[in-house]
Amino acid sequence: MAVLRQTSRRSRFTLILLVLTSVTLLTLDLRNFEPVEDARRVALDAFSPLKDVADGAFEPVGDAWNGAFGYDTLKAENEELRERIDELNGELALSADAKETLVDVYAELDIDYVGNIEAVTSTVVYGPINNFDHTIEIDKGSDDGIIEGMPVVNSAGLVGTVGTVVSGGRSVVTLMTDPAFRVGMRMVESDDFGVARGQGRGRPLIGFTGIDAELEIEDGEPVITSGLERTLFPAHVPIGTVSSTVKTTGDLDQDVFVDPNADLENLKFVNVLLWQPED
Amino acid sequence: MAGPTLKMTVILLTALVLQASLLTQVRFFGASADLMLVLAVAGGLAAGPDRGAVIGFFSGLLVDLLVQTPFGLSALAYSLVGYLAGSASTMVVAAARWFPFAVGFVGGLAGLVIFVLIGELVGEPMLEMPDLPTIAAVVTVTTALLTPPTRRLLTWALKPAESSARVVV
Repeated sequence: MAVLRQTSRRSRFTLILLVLTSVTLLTLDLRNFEPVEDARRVALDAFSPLKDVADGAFEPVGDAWNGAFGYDTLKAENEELRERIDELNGELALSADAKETLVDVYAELDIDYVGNIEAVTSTVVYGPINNFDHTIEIDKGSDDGIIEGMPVVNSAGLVGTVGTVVSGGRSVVTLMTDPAFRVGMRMVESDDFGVARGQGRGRPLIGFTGIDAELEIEDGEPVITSGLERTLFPAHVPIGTVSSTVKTTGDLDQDVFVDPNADLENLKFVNVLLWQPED
Repeated sequence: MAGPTLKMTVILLTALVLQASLLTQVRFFGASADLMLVLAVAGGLAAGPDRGAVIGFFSGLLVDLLVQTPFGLSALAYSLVGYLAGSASTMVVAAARWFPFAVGFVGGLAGLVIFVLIGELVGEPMLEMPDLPTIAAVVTVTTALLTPPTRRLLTWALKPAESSARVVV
């Protein structure tokens, strides 16, 4: 027979104490209390070497796991990529010519061109550590002129933004899959603007805010940063391509789903653009 | 012989390294198990609500140090889960074999729900994540599977160190 026992008063007291401590920490963090941020920086800095060693040790396990359970996906991805390379080779010659013209026009108009912005190349030290974490840590920090809010890209396009500069040689980057991430976007062919936000790991970004429901948007249409006034990103950074559109309630607007160009699951190197929005 | 505090510290740090290195690579449908949540549930089962809450608090606090979600959010959620799991363990004396699995399952789900709801309250848009059901499924099932062996580990770790001097009567 099961015997029920009273939960002790001491247990409840301990729990209340721990809850109050947690709530205090939460409140301090939400108010940007500097020592909390400092504690995080110290912990990240101290943990990184340990993590590097463990990563090396567990890499074969991860490879074996992905090999065993992700083979079909990898094979399909590989075929798709081969086709895409052929397509891109064809477009390359045209793009090179267009790029030269664009750079000349920007120079005339005194507008920042993303290809001309100074960048710091960084190695990704580690990725998101749990299901609700949308950050990566990189091996460059304030010593290289990195400050919070700077855009982070790789050769494929936008990756995210610098969330926290941990130290002279470490920074935390918030990935664009973070549900709190927002970026002004422009659809290249239909030439409409919107705001895209993250929806979590492996999910497309969702572009919303005033995209006209009547606008014809083709799947595969390239999406770039808008570069509008007071935006947090320079113009013309590739974000991704349209994967689908859905009319919103009332049929006045439409939501646009955007597959990121950058493979955010397998980042090894990223570039931090030493760029800040104008006040 | 090492004391319970030292053993628990080693276990917590080892779990954190495993979470950050191994479990980020071993994913099920894109979601990973949450070893620190498992420690909170198993801690409650092994040591009761009092110490369960403390173990949950510190396992959550370690996670909070390394992620960008609000600091204290995991500590709050996991301490509540540790307490709840511990309370469940005190309610029955002779538990069936499936009892730790059931507590692991419910504890995993409770931990996730508490984390997401408090996260929403403090402005983290977690309910908007379309893969939340997948994460919930993976976390509850893996927590249920990992709780029984982890409870045995923690029962061993929390056992007071034996005295080296024996009294002969």
